[in-house]
Amino acid sequence: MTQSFLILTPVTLRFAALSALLGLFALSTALHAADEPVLRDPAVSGSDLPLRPLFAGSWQKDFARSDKWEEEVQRIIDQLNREMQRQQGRGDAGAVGMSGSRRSVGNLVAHARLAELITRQTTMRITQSGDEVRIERQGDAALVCSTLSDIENTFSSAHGSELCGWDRLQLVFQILLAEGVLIEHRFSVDPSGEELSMLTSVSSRGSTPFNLMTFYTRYEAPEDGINCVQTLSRGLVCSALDGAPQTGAPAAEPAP
Amino acid sequence: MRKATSKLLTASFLASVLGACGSSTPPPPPGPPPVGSVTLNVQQGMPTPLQMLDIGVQVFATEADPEEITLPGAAIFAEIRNTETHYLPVALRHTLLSSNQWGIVRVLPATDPSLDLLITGTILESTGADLLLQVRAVDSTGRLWLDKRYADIARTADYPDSIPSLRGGGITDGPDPFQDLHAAIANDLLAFRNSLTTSDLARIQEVTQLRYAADLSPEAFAPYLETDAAGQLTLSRLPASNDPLLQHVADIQARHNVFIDTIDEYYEALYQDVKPRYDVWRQYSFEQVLDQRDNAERARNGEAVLGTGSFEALSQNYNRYKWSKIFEQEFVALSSGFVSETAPAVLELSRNVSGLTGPVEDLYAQWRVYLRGLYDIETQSAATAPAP
Repeated sequence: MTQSFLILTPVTLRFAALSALLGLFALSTALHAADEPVLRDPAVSGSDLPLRPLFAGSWQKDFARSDKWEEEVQRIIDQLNREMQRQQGRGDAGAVGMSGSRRSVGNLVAHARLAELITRQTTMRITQSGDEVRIERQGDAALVCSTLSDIENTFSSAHGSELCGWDRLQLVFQILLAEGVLIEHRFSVDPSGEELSMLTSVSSRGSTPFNLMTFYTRYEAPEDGINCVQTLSRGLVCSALDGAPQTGAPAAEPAP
Repeated sequence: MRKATSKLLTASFLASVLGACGSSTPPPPPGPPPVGSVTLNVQQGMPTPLQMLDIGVQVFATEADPEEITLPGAAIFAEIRNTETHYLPVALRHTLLSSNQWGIVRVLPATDPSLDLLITGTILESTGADLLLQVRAVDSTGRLWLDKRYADIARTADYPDSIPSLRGGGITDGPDPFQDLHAAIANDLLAFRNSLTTSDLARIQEVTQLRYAADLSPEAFAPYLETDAAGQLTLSRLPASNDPLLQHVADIQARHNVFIDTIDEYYEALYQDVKPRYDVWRQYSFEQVLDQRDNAERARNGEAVLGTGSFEALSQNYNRYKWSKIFEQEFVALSSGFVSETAPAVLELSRNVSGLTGPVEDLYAQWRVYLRGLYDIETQSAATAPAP
């Protein structure tokens, strides 16, 4: 239906830049992996499948522990001010310059607000099978990643591209928007499996990333045990599951 | 070792990301210019008996683009393509019947010697935005009526104003967005028929009759047919009008017609079953193709991006990305729904033809062998029966 061809445009070049970043991502993963024993899932002992933490479940935001973007911005600004004061004290005020600082702060606030915008959901539902993790967030596209490969390209359009992969026990998604903004989500669960954290970083063109940490706790969603399937003629059709699912609650209305 | 692995990964990502980037910017479909707006030429009164040629529209072939196997949900799209090979011939049949210019028009799984004109087609390109068909029509004498590519482009006005909601399970039942293409084929066939003389038309119908008879009993009827210098079948002589073998052929053909009518009815049922979902799928496909072309156009023009670095610009960029991804995810889900919901109709088509088993194409071949056997039995019985 479509023919693949390469157009050298600014967009294409940005994708190339993304690839380079992912090269670094892969290198970082590989280097970390060299420090770690290769873990195997006990459930599939004897197989070559890599161990992946269990992310499945329904998760709700822990507001008390999660970062607040305004406080993070203030903390970084304070840090910048201290750095400038130190530079002025040493007599090399021109190193950064006031206008440069203002630009940096402007970008910082924009990145921070974007980070807050894309982490605004209060709940997440994650399903996990033998070969895939699917993170569903209300009002946003699902984040889907294979549990089998270490890194893969999961989506690409003129508006941006997404890759995901595993950095040791962390599940990482990198989104490069067509205009050069890089967003990274880094998911991990604590050993008890009751707490999930998501570190979201936003940067552009090599700027220092703005990081926002969001914590989630596991909860029992009231609709747990209902399986919903999207159909054309009947919309979303839901039915009760017989066995205990390895999923959280579906954010869906029950069957009519 | 790990560094080498990471380099390999980097290279493969570079290739995959750039490849994906390329595939998101489809070029305009190759082929002839679109048919444009076409008015179907409709016969107001009854056509003459000689004009009422019986037509068979064979299930189309398809040429799937190898690029598609790299796309998400490729298997699903292949299934939709398969359904289209049944769906589009029925749509053409409807148009031919609407023109009121022909005799019986049936959709068939294979070539059939009992028909005056056989239409075959290959789907070269089919999205919600474009349809490109290679269509060939040959009459029973072997005369080529047309062998031509037809292209049509859907317009926004061809679809309902709102995209059917997945959540609402929206179903549309509007006109075919590629009706112009079907009308163009019908009009071209009509123009060719009108270029033939009445003796040409009469010869087509006579050859059809004897070709069917020769298919049943080559030793008895093949001598009546010969191939002329142009490579077309013609009559060397006519059998006697009271030839008893010809009467047996007519009896067998009556049963054959019941069989192929039954097959045709199942194709019609499949069409009716699939149409509402296919319309929804096609509209989503239309929106997706337009979106891809719009993006490609923007990329080619190096269109400036609104704002740089402000939160408003960043959030707008993120939203564009987010919606393009949501759209693709929903599109794949929709396509999957299309396949799972139309599969029973396709299965029904295969199961219910004469209670036999196997694909329709096989049943059809079995049936023709069966009729030949029946013809042999009946003619032998008649030959050995004592004279009254």
